Amino acid sequence: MSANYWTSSQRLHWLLTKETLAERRKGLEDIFDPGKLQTIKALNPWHVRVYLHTLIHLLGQNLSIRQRILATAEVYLTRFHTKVPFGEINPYLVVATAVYVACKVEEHPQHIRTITSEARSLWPDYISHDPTKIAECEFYLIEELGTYLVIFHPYKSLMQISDAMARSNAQITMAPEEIQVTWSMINDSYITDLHLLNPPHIVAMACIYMTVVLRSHIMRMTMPSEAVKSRIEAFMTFFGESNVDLEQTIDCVQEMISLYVNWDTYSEKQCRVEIAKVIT
Amino acid sequence: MNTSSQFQQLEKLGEGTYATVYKGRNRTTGQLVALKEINLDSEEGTPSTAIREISLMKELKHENIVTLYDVIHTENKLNLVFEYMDKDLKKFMDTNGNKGALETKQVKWFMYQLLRGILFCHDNRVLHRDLKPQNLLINAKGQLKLADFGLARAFGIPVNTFSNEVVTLWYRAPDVLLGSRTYSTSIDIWSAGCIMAEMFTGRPLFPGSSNDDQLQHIFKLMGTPNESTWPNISSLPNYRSNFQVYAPQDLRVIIPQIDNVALDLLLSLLQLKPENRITARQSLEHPWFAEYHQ
Repeated sequence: MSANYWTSSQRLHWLLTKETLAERRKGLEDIFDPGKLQTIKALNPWHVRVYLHTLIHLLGQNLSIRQRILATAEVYLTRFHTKVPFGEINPYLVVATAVYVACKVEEHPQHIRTITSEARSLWPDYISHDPTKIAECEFYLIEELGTYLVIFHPYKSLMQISDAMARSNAQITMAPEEIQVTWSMINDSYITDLHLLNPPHIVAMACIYMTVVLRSHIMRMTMPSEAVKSRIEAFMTFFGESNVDLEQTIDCVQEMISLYVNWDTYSEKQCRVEIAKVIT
Repeated sequence: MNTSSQFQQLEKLGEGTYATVYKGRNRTTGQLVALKEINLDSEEGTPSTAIREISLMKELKHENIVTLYDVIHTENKLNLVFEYMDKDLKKFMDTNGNKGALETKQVKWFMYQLLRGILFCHDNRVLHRDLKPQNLLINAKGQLKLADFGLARAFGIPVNTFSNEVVTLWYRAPDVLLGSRTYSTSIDIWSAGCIMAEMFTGRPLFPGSSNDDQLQHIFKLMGTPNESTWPNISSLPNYRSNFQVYAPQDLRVIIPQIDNVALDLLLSLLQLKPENRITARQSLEHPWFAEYHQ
């Protein structure tokens, strides 16, 4: 939205290491009694994250909210769950509230009644008519985020890096389909912890890498396989010279692969039933 | 944690755009603060101006921008805890000026700080949009800081969502008054020009009472723009071909004490056509500020 990443609160206050993140999550388990903890631990954490992602996107689609705002809401949710464990509070309410706050911060405010009634029509069992529920949850959320609300996203880095690729070597100009695929992968990256652990340009680079190298079949439709191979080499040269941290980028790629592997076994219906057991 | 336990609320300092500001004292450290109190309606959620101000102030840390220390939430109130500043520029002019008019040296020092604060906002892709003497705060050390970011917004977003009902009329740029919705950093620069003139004279430069009257005030002094001085001006929504035609006046009639170097800067800030207005960065390199350049 604003300001620059290098001096941002995202970098100074909300960039975590894997170890800190793991410790924080472990520390949160104490608040549950052993029985409930067992039920929560039985859930596949990847599936829970995918489920929350679909909730945000469902609400967003029904209210015609732009992708970027939903991405902000999703980062709020991920940050919130480093302070308040999943299972402690009605996730449907937190999802609606995160979207409500993100709309205000991203300067497309939605009326609290609009959000409430839309969320209620989607999830009547979990959202009441009463807009004060979201108003109450709003400040709970903001406080847990330390009132740091401005979020930087990889979408801009994607455009910058793809421009730089085209300038450095015409051979690795990204095709429109590749930009589209990378863009969707960035949307998916919000399901993971990548935005707590990496600056946005690393996430963008990881998604570009996945598209150009691991999904090079996109280009095979229009290119002989020798050309695709030499294009991958040209991309690796660009990547090597780009000063983007290689190891960190490959780490992100691994995380995205884990996401997609786990997503394959995801069943929304089953996940909804399992989550219902946890929050009642 | 609530305000009454952590801060002692002292006298009222003023009414902001969406809040009341009180002087406060930290009970443990004795430090003075400004408490911006926003009433919350349980059925409405936090005003988006407050959310916007909080989120921007958390990112913008600069010596010419007022610091947000903390946000305290109670059942029906939100308190933004800001660093305490003695007065706003309006009060400073009333107290320290000669009928409001400040000495050249003082005007220069305040303008330099104002433009530095603006540059920092613009470098961080934030428009203030509501610069006026009441939103510029002065502390005992003579530091000037930008405050009241309730209307500020980032400018990397589509312009068609910009509202043209923003800046207080007197400091509002002519392109905004003419209904342009593509405005950018140059609107803050116009306001800075109006404030500079006001510091010299003690009186607002363009005290208009309505949108049209505001344009009238501007054209009377700066000249009425036309297609040759401002190409495509006639395509702006509020442009009328029957605007009264005025010739530009010499600003020294209003500000007799201004020297040529200062006048050159003032005229660069007060360019009617937004693209011709100087940027905050360029303005800080202006020869008028040469003494700060070493």
